[in-house]
Amino acid sequence: MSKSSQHPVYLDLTEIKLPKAAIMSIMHRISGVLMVLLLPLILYLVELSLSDQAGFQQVSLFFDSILVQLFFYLFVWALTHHFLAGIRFLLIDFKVGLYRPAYGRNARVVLYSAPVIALIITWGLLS
Amino acid sequence: MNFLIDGLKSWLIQRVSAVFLVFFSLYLLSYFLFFPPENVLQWQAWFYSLWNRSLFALFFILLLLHAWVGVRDVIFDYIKPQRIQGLLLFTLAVFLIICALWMGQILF
Repeated sequence: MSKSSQHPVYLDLTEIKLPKAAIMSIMHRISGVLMVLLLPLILYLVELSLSDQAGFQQVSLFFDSILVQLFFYLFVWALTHHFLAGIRFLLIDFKVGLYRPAYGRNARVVLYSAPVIALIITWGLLS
Repeated sequence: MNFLIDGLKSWLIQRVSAVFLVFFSLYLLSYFLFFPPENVLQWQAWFYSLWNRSLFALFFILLLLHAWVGVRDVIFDYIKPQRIQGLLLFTLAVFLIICALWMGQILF
């Protein structure tokens, strides 16, 4: 055991360049946890919007605020990323995109398209 | 209840629920993008239709199962002490069950 405790340790996060697939993967996990935590808020908004016209209005006004719209975009990004990364993982389960170069390419596709698609969806939903 | 702790069955549940969740998310997104409700009556009519009520109930159960497997994996990965692990899993279960009951109340 003493041999393994002498191996070099390098933890400068600003210098370490993670592969895109790794970044995509940890974001998949983070987005998942984020959405689970937001579940009570979502349920509350749904319940409020269904109660009566006043509640419906309140939810509409809620989404008129710029700050809320910004957080909503982050939520849609989390959802889109989780969705696309999940599909990539499902495909890998069926051995599609399991090897290079598809592996890295698909990771980058998910990573970069998610925020863009999220922006389009957010714009479509809020306007 | 074994399928909630067992490795292979949970993995399968997560995958199968994911497939359904993909289609349901697209369904939901299409509604809000192309037929957004303009007032509470339209919204209620769509949401409380028999078809959508059943669909939402099914969707939410699958969502909670999917979330359970996902967050459970996170707990397993990052928290080693058995007792804290157990406590967090229990908290997670309670949290998800409360969400289920709340959704049930909204739906029915």
